[in-house]
Order: sequence, then C-alpha cells, then structure tokens
Amino acid sequence: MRYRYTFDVKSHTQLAETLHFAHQGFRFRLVESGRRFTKLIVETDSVVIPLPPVKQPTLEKQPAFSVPPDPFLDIVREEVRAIRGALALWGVVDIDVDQLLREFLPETPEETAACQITSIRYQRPDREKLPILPNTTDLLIRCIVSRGKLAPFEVPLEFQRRGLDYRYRDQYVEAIFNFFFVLEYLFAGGKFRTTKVVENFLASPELLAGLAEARSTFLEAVQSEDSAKRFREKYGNRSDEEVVQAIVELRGKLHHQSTKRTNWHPALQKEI
Amino acid sequence: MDADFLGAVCQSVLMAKVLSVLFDQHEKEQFLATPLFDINDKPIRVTNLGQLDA
Repeated sequence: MRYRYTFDVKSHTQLAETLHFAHQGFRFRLVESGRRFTKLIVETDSVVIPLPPVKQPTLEKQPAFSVPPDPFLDIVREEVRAIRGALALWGVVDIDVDQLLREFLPETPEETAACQITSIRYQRPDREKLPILPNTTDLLIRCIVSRGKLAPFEVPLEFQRRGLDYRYRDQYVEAIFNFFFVLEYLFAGGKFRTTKVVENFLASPELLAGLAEARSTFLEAVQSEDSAKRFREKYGNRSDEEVVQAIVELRGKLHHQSTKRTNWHPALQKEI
Repeated sequence: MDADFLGAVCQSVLMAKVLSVLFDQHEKEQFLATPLFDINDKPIRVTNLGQLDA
C-alpha cells in the first residue's frame, strides 16, 4: 500500500514544468500550471500495514466502512508546514494543509479487497455558500440608510468582521486578536495594562450585558456535552470578574512567544 | 472555544450598538421616508411596520 497526499498551493512562484523526486521515504511532485507552482503531491514508499477486515453490510444498518490506518498523515502535514514556511520566502502564499486530498493506493489483490475507500477529500465550504441566515430585508436597507450614524463604529465592526472570517477558517488566534480589539476599542478607555483594562471592562454595563447574552447563546448552540462542560468550567459558571480576567490574560498570553516555550503554533490553532 | 465565546460577546455588544442606531426614531423615520422600488421600478411598501423594531 502507498499513501498519497495532494496539497493545493497558492503561489506566484515560477515553476517551468512539473517535476518529482524521492527523499527520505517520500516522493515529492511539484505540479506546474500556467508556469506557476500550484500543487504539492507527497507519496509514501510501499508499506505493509494490516487492514481491518471488511464488514459485510446488512439490510438493517447503513453500510459501514473504515478508513485505512494511516501512520503518515500527521508526519506529512508537519513536514509540509515546515516546507510551506520556507517556501513563503520565495512567493508561496499558502500550501493548504487542512483541505487536502488523501489517497490510499492498494498494491496487492488482498489490499484492494480490504481497502474500502480509496480517497478522502477535506474541503471547507465557502462562507457565501453556507445556509442562508434568516433576516429581514428592512435591516439591509436600514444599515445603508443609517451609514452615517454607523460610521463611528466602523473600526470595531471591521475587527468583528475579520474575526468572524478568521474564526470560520479555524484561525482562532487571529480571530481572538480581532475580537479582543473590538472590546479594547470600545471599553478599555485607552488603557493597556491588565489591571486597568479589567477594571474598565468591568465598569461597562454594555460589556457585562454582552457577557451574559454570550453565555446564554453559547450554551444553547454548543453541540457536545463535553464542550458544554468545558465551557461551564471556564466561562459559564465563573463570575464576571473571573471571566473578564481570563479574557484579558488570554490576550496577554497570545501576544508572546519564546524558543524556550512555544506558546502556540500559528499553524496548529485548533489547540487553542 | 475561546474564540467562539469572545466572538459571541463582541457580536452581542456590537449588535446592541448597531440596533440602537437603526431603531433610533430619527433613523427609523429616514428609513420609512425612503422610497423603495422593485426590479420593475414598482414601489415597494413596508407592510410589517409594527415589527420593524422587534
């Protein structure tokens, strides 16, 4: 069995033609399109990995299938992140390590029989293709008619818009930065030290009302009991003072990095 | 979770601020005084006036 991973590349990096080479157990293929570097394909050597036995589907149950065990995915992603970082110095904008095509390439009749799926594509839908949000047309018009009165809120609204977009793309740290700027702009009163920011946040009835509403809506929307439990422990059951302190400290923590202790990895933001 | 919660706090705060502008009596009158037309240039009337600020 071989494993193949295809990553889309955004770049303005010239590549005269598609080329490939092998290095340390992997075959790398750099794909050219329009004289640009547009795909990176990583393929493993042949390996023997026991595949789980095929379960026969029954009429009562949905057909079950299993994804072949894959010891390479995390390693390949990690290595491609390092490659992406280096190639960014030469015009590679992104190598998408989240939305990739995984292919399982059986090489023997036994593997072919045991391999129930041959590929998986990870894809996040564009936000403009998400289900339509219920709204009333008057709000669309009223935002336009009242644009002059809304102008004083342009900066925090722009931070919020960017935060929501980062959040959708699982870039949680950038999302938190932008969301925090909304609160800092509106309620910190020009102060930056933690104690003063906390004090000013707590002095704002608007912010405290926002905290209360967010606690309630968050618990309604949360999908799993585990997430609800973690939320209650961190924000839901805490006092306003504790929650505001936690938010401000989170901002502080995310703003620092060190070779001694990696605070957070920019490409592994799901850990946040 | 942190990003989700912080985003929800900001959403709530900003929604309150924006709605306070949109629901302001003067802004509401501006909206109601603005003629609206469909694609065929026929006037459109707001029929649910009672729910405008709901």
